[in-house]
Amino acid sequence: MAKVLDSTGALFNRIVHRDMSNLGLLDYILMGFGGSLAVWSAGMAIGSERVGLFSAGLVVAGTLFSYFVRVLSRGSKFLIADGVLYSIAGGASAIFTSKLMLLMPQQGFPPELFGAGWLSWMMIFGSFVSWRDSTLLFQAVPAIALFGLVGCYDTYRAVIFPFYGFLVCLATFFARAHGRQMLEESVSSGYFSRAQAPGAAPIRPETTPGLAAKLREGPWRWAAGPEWALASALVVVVISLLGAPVIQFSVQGVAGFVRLAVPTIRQSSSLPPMVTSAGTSAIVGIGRGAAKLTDKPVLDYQSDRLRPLRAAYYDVYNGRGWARRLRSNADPEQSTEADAIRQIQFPQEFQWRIRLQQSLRALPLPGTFISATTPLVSQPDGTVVGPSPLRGWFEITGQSIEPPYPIEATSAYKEFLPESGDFLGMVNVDPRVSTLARRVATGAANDWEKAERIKREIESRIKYNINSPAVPAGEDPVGYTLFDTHEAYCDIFASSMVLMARSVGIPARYATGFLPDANNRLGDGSVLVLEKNAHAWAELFFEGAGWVPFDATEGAEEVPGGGVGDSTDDRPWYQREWFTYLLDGLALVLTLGAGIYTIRLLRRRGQHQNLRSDLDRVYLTFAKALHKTTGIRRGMGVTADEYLAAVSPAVGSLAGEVREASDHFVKAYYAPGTLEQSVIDDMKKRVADLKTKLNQLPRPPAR
Amino acid sequence: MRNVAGFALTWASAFIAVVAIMVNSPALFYMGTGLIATIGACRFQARLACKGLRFERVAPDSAQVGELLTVEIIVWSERKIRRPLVTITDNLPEGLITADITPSLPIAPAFDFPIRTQYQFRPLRSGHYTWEGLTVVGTDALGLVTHAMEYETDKAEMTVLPRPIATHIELPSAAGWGVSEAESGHTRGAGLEPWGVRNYVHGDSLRHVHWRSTARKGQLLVKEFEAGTHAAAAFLLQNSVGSDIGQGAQTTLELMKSHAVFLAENLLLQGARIELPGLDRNPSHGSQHERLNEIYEELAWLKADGERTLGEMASGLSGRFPPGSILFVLLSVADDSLPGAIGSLAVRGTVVSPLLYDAKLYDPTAQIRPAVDPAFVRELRAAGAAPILMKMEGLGG
Repeated sequence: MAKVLDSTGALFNRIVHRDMSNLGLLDYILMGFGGSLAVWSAGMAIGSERVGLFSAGLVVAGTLFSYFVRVLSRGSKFLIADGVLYSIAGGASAIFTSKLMLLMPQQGFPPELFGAGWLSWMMIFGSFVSWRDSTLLFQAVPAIALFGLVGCYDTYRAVIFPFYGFLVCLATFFARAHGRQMLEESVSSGYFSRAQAPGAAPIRPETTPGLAAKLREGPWRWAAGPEWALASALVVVVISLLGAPVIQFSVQGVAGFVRLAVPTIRQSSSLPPMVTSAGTSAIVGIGRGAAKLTDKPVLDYQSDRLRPLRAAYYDVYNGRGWARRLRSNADPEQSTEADAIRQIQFPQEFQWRIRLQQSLRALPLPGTFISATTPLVSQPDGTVVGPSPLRGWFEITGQSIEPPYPIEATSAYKEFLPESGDFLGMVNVDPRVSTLARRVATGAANDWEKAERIKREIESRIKYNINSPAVPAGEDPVGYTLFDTHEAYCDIFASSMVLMARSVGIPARYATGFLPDANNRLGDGSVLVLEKNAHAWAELFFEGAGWVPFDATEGAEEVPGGGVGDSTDDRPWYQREWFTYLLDGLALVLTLGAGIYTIRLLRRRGQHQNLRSDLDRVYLTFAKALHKTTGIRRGMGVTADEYLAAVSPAVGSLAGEVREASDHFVKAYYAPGTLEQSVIDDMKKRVADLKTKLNQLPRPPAR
Repeated sequence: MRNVAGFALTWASAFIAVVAIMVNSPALFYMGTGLIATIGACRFQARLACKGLRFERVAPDSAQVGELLTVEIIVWSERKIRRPLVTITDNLPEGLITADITPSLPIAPAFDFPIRTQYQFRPLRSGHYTWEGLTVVGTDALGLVTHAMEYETDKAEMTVLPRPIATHIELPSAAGWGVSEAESGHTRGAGLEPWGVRNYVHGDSLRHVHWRSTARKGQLLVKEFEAGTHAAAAFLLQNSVGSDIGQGAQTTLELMKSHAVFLAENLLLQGARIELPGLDRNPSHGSQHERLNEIYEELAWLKADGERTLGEMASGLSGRFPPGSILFVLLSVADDSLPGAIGSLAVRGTVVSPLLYDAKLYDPTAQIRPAVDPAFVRELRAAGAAPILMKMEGLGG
């Protein structure tokens, strides 16, 4: 163990001290990796690994770009512009966040997560202009803020691992930057130059090799080494891992007093997450606040009866939503689930003709996929996807496993192998939910009756409200709704049904997709599915029946104004796209205008300062000529007028011209307005003429 | 940079911890704890870095204004531990005006052998300075936080000698030094007599250029004078309370000292005897070099804390100098008692040459009557002195 610690410590020591004198590739790797962990976590927090990878990739690319800029322009003065460029990048990403989101996969962060989107783009842009220690270090600010936001959303609890990774990178970079600062102070102290010969080239850490090594052999010989760093890291990790839960437990009495309205997680178009995440994400959140469902058509399809269109299902409850257990190695045909389905006596094959009017990653189907005329694949997790986002017509052959009602099955099927899915998993479930389920199911004759009782209990406890607020971070959405707020929409109804069914031993899963509305049947008999038909429900597995949908919203009372029809996209004009485009345009014009004005102002100031220096030189020539002629030197603190009064009597007939020239100088120096080159030229000519005339005057007697 | 980063990280960790409690988010608890633990570990390291140290300071005994000085501090660790780097801030006395002060060399104090650190600075004001104690600033391995701890040390002493500033004054040869003695016939050859030429150096008057030799040699040569056997000069600097006008290193007394050492050095080289009435504690009669060192030292100690006026000091000198001696009185504030004293000195054959400084140039708002006040100058002339208005250039470092 000691050997491992020693060798790890030595490795850490080498990393910290390797070519420490200059900001080098290692520093860029550290901060590039640390920064990419931050933006990747932000992507994961909105349930989109693609957004995370996109952002992380750009941060890495930007950091490498900055490294090459630094290498190629070592010593160049323009590197100091990185601070200004970083500020502009930060401002631009704030102003154009909504537009920049369109460049990201799946349209990036939703508008509610403006802060995360802004910070991500700030880090991306900032990585391209991190040319010095200070800007590279500043990347830590948006990174920590991003981690903080991810923690607040509480949708990606594994964020602590990327965070610790980031912390290690940051600490190593800090140690190296600190070493560089100490090295600079050592050079400034005169330690190296004391014995230097006069006139020798100045010693600089960037250009003089071996300075750090000399210090490590001398005054830094006893500096705290890797054992300190490792000990500190261990302390930090142990305190964090052991201390955090203890601290959280100990402050439970006062914690959570702020009910954070967790915003809706990433949406594609305006579709709710239960649909858009199908086929793209292994997790989906629930209880994320009011859903904005519009009348925009999603698809239409031919069907004789209205069946729910399932896009995806999930089996693992994570306390904030649902995830799919990875079953990439499992053959769905060989699973116990497939065996169970094959035993069902009434499978029916159907031909479905579906037209997607919006682009979707996974195809919602009213049954089990068998084959299609277009290249579609049924994934082990149950989603049907294509090589690219799906849109247009699809001819599908499928099998409906929806049993004919009334169902005769009464017993739940419980022989699932672990690789089939965790359909009875009870991890992260609020104990109150299980207790309620068992109480409700007590006395039921069979599993089917238990399920029916649970469904009725949910219907009676929760009112349907599409505008229900988000469940606060730290609260279990199901328990919080069942026992506290009693208002929710389909995702909580479905989650409650799944968890309560599992509590009494019935395998269940969380399904998302669309529930077609009979009122939307078209003239040709096809059914039009709208965005507002997006839905989530529970599916319970019964012997001889397969997965049976249980929709607890069916019998639930609706909160006035909270029904599905009430939740349309009724954004006011100032939230409409045309207005945001107009604002962005105005902001762009203002930013560019302000930038151009600032540059012109700086240039003018520079010119003005040069002109002032020119004017000073002309006045010195003027004063010198007068001194030569009159013998009166202009002393310190003597004003132009005082000097004029002193020399006037001694310049005889030229007094008038001298006065005129002096007045011009005073005017040029102190009159309001900008000093022009023409004034300088005029004064030069005037002084030259006057000097010639003054030279012709008799010299004063020597003093 | 490190302080800003540490400050930002401390507040970030506090903020995350507070938000974690507010929203009860487990991830935020982990992050907040991680950050706080990091900051805590850094603070612990920085505190530990400062503990258990012993110091010895090696400062030069004397230096000249504007000279780059190196102060060495030897550090021992009393504990056998490795530490992050520490820097040292010396408790330099307040009155010591400095420039170009460098940070100290960061060091890691060792248990088994002394480690030397150092810093450099340029003193800008002459004087005798003593100081003790220093502050150790410890850092952590990441440089996020600093911790300062004060230590007692032995007292250090240093004399900052005035820097000679070249100036040229016309000696009152027509009615002054040596001439009166020559006229009186007491001593043949007394006074300043040219005895050779030498290379021109900055500060020499162009009036003393020996043009014939210059033309012959092709380089600027000036006449060198020799003082008479009994030639003597004394410098009396105004040092009464409130007479040192100006701020920091730019004060009238500092300029007077610089001019006085320059003039004294030149006169010593010419063989004159130099006295500093009121300052000479134990003037040696050794070599010119020894005397010059004494003059530098004595002027360095001079402070504007005197209680006597120039007139009072000058009156006490009556009869102290041999006839033909000259007394340079350097003053920036008009002293009404001086003209009377000049008269009594003249009676005993001492020529008084007041060197007048315009105090108003140093502080235009000072409520004083400058020595260059025309009425005061007339009074001095009436008393038989030949006042000289001094150029005020070349002051400071």
